[in-house]
Amino acid sequence: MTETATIRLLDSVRCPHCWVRFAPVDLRFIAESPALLGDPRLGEGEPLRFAPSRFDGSGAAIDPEGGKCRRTACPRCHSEFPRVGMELPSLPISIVGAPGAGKSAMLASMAWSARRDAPRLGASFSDSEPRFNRSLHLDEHALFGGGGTLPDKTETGGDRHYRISIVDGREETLPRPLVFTWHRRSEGRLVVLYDNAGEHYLPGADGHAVAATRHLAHCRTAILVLDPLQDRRFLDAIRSDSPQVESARRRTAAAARQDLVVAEFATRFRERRGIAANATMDTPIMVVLAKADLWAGDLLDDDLRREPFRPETAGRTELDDGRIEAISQESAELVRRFMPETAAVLERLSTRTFHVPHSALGASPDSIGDAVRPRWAALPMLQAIRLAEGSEA
Amino acid sequence: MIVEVVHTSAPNGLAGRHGGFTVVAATRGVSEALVDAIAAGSAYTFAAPGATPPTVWSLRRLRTGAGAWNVLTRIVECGLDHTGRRNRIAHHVAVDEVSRRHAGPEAWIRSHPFRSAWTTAPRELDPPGIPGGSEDGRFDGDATLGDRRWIEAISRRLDMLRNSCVTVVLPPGVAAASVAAAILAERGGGPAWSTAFSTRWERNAAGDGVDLRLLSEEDPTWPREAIRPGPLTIDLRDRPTCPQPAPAAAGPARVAAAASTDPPTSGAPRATSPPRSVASEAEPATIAAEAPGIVEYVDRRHGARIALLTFLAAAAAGVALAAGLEFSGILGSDS
Repeated sequence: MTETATIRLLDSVRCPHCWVRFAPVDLRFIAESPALLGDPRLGEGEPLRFAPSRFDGSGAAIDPEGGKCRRTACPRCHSEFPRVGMELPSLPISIVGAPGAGKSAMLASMAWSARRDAPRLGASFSDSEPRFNRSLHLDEHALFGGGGTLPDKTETGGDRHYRISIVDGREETLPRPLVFTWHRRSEGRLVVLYDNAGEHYLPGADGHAVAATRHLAHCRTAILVLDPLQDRRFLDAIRSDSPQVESARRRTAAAARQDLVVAEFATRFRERRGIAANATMDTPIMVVLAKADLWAGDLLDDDLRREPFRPETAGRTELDDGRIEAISQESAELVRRFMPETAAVLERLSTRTFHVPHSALGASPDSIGDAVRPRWAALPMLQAIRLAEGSEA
Repeated sequence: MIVEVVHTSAPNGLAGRHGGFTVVAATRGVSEALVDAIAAGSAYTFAAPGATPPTVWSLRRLRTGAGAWNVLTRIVECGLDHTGRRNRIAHHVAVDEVSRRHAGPEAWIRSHPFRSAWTTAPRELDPPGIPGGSEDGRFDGDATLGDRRWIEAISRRLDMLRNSCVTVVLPPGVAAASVAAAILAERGGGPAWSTAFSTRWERNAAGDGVDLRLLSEEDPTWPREAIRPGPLTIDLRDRPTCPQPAPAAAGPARVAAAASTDPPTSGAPRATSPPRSVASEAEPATIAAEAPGIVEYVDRRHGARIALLTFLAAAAAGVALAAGLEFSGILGSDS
């Protein structure tokens, strides 16, 4: 590929915020001139979005004040649209789980590790436009910046994870997507992740969370995070006496009913896609069993300190599919044994569920200090991409 | 009617609500839907570790099928929650149209015992008492801003720029809540309750009415680069003296006078460019008519187009004024 390679635009693209489909030619540009602060749909703090009529030689649009503009926006909700999304097909992935299940920590360690591990597989996973991922970078900094602290709890509203826009005359709270590019061989994908507050998936929360969880209708795969420490039956089988497990034992009565969250997720997943209540889909569901450092030693035969890659040759490696499949089966069996109602809902929902144990920190938060060593952290991302690409094929 | 709602991260919520961010207390007998609508304004941005956690105050309008409410909210960081992560507590007081008559929002800010933590089981609350009238509703602005006239000037600016959001950047050491109370007291009664304000930076959608944003220099969570000089910004960080307001005048002359001198805050030391609203040779196509709304143009290259639109806007404003309506608009290039 040379510098002069032609940019091939997709025929149509979908806004990762409001989900409208449109042709790239209809994109708005975001004004760069300071005088053009204020947008009729996003408010006075956002630069004006405009339909360009003038461009310079490099393809930058020229705003009404003469500023050169490269950032693009959705013509409907005016949220910023990643430019690379004009060229690469998108692969939206929803992340779902109960409050406190560990979604944000999982996401931060997953993205951190996937960037590092993808090159070993002859691929790349990178922040195509890092400003989209600012909230994730804060969480990554909390985990890996030396402090080893847990990310802040994800809010159900506010600026950091959501954007308010006037869409079709109504105010809507839209989730801010996290945007990455995935390249392997000559293929590329725009990977779009959604990290909602767990409260959005609680039964009864659908009313005010309709727009915030609309991605469930469009995602190619969903990553469902289950926290074994929130389930009394799982906890009883764990021998660990770490402070986190002890603390979990004291408050299981107060933990969110994960079976209800999964049931709610399944209902919304079907409803948003217009699928019959008793239908089983082939959309892949990644079931991530979080906080594996605290339970895997007691309940899994394999040692998760060994990452799921085959031994490297010439700087390249591959995922160890046989081992991954075996651990997936074993993890699925644990869910069937300790959380049978959840397993039943998942089996009814999708014919393609895949289970992965995961540890975002590698140890209990009380004891990690600055030695954060995630276990199997990149696998949910790598496997989700692989499954989604498989379902496309 | 007055409704209190307390929202924080807790193991359990009130009346069977799940744990996580949840309602832990609400006034007895209030519908769940109304409680949820009030609690929707509970989001908080945590400061970076080590920085001073900001206290957020806001007053917002809430329209429901059951009537119009004004919701006064205080949000503070409150240690760690049951999962070991940073927590915050949002305490809301929602006042309906009838109860607004008994006390202004400034009285609630000064007197109501807003909670800074919730450590007990969720429970229903008795209706709160109306704040007493121990003060005469005025506020000693001199002690806060160094110049009492700023309070009046900010209040005037709010009247002048209805349907816009006025941002006031406060000097170091000044409590945003005190200034808010002073401004609300200055406005008095109904206008005070109708003044939606926030002490945090929120990128509100257009039309989502926050009339006044009060930003503290100590609050690390708002983007400094977003503050730009202009009629919508009053920068008091260097404690400038408030100039005398212009004498009242009618028609276009009053508009020009108001735009250039009342209050001339864009001349604050941090300002680096002339106010956008002033029609001047330096910025020939940035024109504004500021009373009673604002018409703002952004294109300085197409003089004829601007002149025509200015004429049309002025005519529309005239018709709207004659009909007793408010008029406001912005010319962008969006379809």
